[in-house]
Amino acid sequence: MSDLRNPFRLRAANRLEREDTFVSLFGPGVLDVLDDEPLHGPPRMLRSAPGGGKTSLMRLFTPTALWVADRRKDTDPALYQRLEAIGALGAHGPAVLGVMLAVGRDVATLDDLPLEAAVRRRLFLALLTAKLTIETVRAAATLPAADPVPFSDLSFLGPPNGSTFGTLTFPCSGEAVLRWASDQEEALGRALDTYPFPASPPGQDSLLVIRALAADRIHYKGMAIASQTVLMFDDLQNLARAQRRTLLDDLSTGRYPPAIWLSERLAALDEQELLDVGAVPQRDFRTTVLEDIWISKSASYRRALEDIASRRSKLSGEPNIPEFSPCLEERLAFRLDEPAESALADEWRDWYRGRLEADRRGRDLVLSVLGSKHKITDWDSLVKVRAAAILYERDRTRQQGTFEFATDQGVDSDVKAAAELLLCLEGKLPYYYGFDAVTTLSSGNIDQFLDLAGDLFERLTAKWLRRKQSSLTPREQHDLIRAAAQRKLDMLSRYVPRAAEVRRLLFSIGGACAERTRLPNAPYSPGVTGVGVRLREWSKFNAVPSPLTPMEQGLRSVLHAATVHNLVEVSAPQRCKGEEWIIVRLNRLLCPHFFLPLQRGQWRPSSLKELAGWTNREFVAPPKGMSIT
Amino acid sequence: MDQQGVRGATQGDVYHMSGVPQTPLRWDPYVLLREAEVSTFWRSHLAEQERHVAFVLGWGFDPRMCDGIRAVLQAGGKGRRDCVLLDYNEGSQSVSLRHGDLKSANRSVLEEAIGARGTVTPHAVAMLNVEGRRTGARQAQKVVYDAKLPDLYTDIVVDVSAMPRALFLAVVFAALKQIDERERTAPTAPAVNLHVLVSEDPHFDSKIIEDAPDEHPSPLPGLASDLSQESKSHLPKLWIPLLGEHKLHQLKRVFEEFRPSEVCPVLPSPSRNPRRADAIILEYRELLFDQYRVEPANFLYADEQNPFEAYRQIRASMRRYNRSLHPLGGCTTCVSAFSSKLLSLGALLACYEAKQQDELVGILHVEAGGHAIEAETRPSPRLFHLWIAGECYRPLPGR
Repeated sequence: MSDLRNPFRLRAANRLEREDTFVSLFGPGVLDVLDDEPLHGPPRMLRSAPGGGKTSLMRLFTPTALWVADRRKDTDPALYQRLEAIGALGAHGPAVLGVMLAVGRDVATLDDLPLEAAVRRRLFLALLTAKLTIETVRAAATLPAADPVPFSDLSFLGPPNGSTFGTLTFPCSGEAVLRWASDQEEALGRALDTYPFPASPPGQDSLLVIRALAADRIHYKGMAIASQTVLMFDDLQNLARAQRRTLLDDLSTGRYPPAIWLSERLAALDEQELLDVGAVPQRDFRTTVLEDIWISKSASYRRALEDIASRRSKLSGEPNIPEFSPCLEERLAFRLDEPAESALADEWRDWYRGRLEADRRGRDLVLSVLGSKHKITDWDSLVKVRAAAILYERDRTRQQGTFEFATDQGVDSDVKAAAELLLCLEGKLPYYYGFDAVTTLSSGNIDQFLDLAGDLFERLTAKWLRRKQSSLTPREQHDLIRAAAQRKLDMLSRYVPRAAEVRRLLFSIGGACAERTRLPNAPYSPGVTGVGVRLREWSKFNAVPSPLTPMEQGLRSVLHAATVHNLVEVSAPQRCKGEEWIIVRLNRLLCPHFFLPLQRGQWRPSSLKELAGWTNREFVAPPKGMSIT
Repeated sequence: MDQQGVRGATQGDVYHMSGVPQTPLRWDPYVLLREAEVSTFWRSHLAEQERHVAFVLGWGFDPRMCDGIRAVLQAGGKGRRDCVLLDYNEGSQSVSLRHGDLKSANRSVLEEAIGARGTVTPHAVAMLNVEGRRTGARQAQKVVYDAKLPDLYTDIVVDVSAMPRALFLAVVFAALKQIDERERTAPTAPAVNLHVLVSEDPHFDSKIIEDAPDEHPSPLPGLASDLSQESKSHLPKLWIPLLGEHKLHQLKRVFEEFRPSEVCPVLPSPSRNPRRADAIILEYRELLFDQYRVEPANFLYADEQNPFEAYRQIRASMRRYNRSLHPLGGCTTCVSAFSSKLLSLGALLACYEAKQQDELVGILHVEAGGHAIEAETRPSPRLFHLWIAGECYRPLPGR
């Protein structure tokens, strides 16, 4: 493949990319989202916002991708070994028949026809049967050898306890199966394009055909093509609700021999399902929300992204940037001979000296943290003074008894983190930089990481061309990242329903978090990145009959829109101060716009009434707070 | 006026050296009239004989809604003048509701224009079903099919000026299909004419914002099934997006849905603003070149004010790809119109013709939750008239 100007812009799961490009860009670390035995057990449901990596994960298990991975075992042993450990690759190539079916919106159209529900259900199952069968025959033909074998050389034995399926009689060749399924699909397609809809198109009552599509029921040269099968249904969010219910019911009760993976965007869930965070997971399915997995496995996520970034930068036509992450400078070059930085140091030097001459309690605190001869000579020594100032303010505030929501204090790393954030804000210094920051800001979403890394890589290549420098300074990274955050907010109105309300809510959450983060005593160090609503109040979203006010109903729709577009993360219930809370956090990429901490941070208590109010009128910080930007 | 009144377009089939039959383009020559030519044409057309005219209009807030119908009614002539009015409902959250006053005013203008010459029959069209899926196009087609207009009228005039793209593409498709079906089953019956009127003002159009575009593209009913057939998924996929400004989200959504193997974008050039095509390229440069890796040679260019030019360019591309890929079984083509209404009509004609010739083709577009006029602006439109079926396309006697 030819060199790419910016390989981070490629979306490898797209059909545009050849299989070898796709596999070469696939970081094996992504397989960490699967458990040890993904090819066994009950059906698995993968969920994420758009760009979470569901399609790529499924595509890797198709025979053509597995053959490429097998061929690359010497050049990419890490991927080979992971696939071998899972059981997808064996000594002679792919060991599993992976069938991937992307469910298109055309299927949902069937549910809009003016027909009885039972008829629509039969049409849906017939169409799905046809599509699944076609994909299976195609996948089966690519499994026995690296080059596809003729369909006519495949022998389908049929389900173990039957010799017919509709008009299809087993055993028969792959060619016959393909023809039967294609005819069925084309008949339904023609009917859908016709007005009025014809009276008697083909129908099915279940997906029993799956029993005939297991790899051990498909032979090539007298041998089963594989012992294991995984049927992967991608994009279930495209189905009508009734169809999705039909499919999940059929798969959970059918107890089909193949492993079954399903993937859907969070948008597939209605408002009630999506916001019902305390609900018991769907029975009979192993549900995985990719973003949640990555947030809980942050080290694995970092490794996976570093690997993805490395693979992509190697595809670039720029040999002087062979690796991506080392090109992002990790350390702030704080120079006291720079006017702005010197002024900042002077300010805090004065504060330190002033405290030493102030009241005894303040002096004792400062002495205990900094000693009597502390000098500001570098960034770390400045941060230490700023941290002492936070502790000093906390002590002073506590005396005045206005501490409204106590948090754990005295955790050095959190106070230090808050001090760094406040110093960067006060001194207009870069804060968002380094590969870890980019990883964090991707919010567990691989597409979001690629977008952000693509912006940085773009600047990197330009910088090399113009100045022969192959790294980005913290300032350059910071500015690019904040620009990306701004762009994400600016683009809202182009694609998010109720965009104005969503935007007001995001700006209100961001503004409220910023206001609390910047209090002089930094009570929620390292900062605030979300708001909490009591679970008993949140449960009103799902109560029947609904006790919601019209404004709260509006809030539910706004939160739904914000969640499915990956603008906020709604957490599982968390216990705090004897109560359960639901935390609504901003997507991490939005945090730079409000200068919020990189760390996950704490949250500010709120209520449905307040959030609903914010959708109509944006939060305004009290006058004493610092400005947001 | 382009090619007005040219009759007898039918020619014999042409065979390419690959062996693939190449039927001549249906809309070559074509009839396209602009501004004053429109009134002149209608005066002459309606004076020829008594003609019964059915108008199909979308009831929206766009101040250009009645420009076309007024021009036709003012041309006089004998016969009925009835109007099928599509009262489309974009839902309770639609920003279009802000312009209720403009919508009411349009209805008054329409009633006044029709007066005693005929009737105005409104039909409710829900753009969304309860699950938020798009159903408006299918419902609008049902209205047109059920009205059986070709059996009752000599001329059908679809004025697309105040219709969302999904509706007018669906309506023109259904009307054209009905007329063709009639031509096929009753070839000696008097021809029924299909006219499309567009009151176009690119500057005013740029002030109409599309709010909350869908997360999923919608296929055009009648041109849907080829795009999603698994049995054809092994064939190369060609995507022809007609590019306009500020459609990044829409482009991404269609690309993700269709997953093409080849992309041939259409740029509006020549254009009133000579730099328009450059600006569009600049806006989508990352998407087109870095993500989709479009070859510069793949770009097509079509006059922004001539839908038949877009039709010809798109059709030629479809044929070229199908010819080249004939040994593999051809290709599946998806066309997406993110440009003006005029060019969208060109795209529809290309796809309609391709479908009639058994090519695998479809239209995917991304609809919006609503539309609103961004600022206080008055349109200064130009009226365009496309005559796309009927008398002018019938062979002359003895030919």
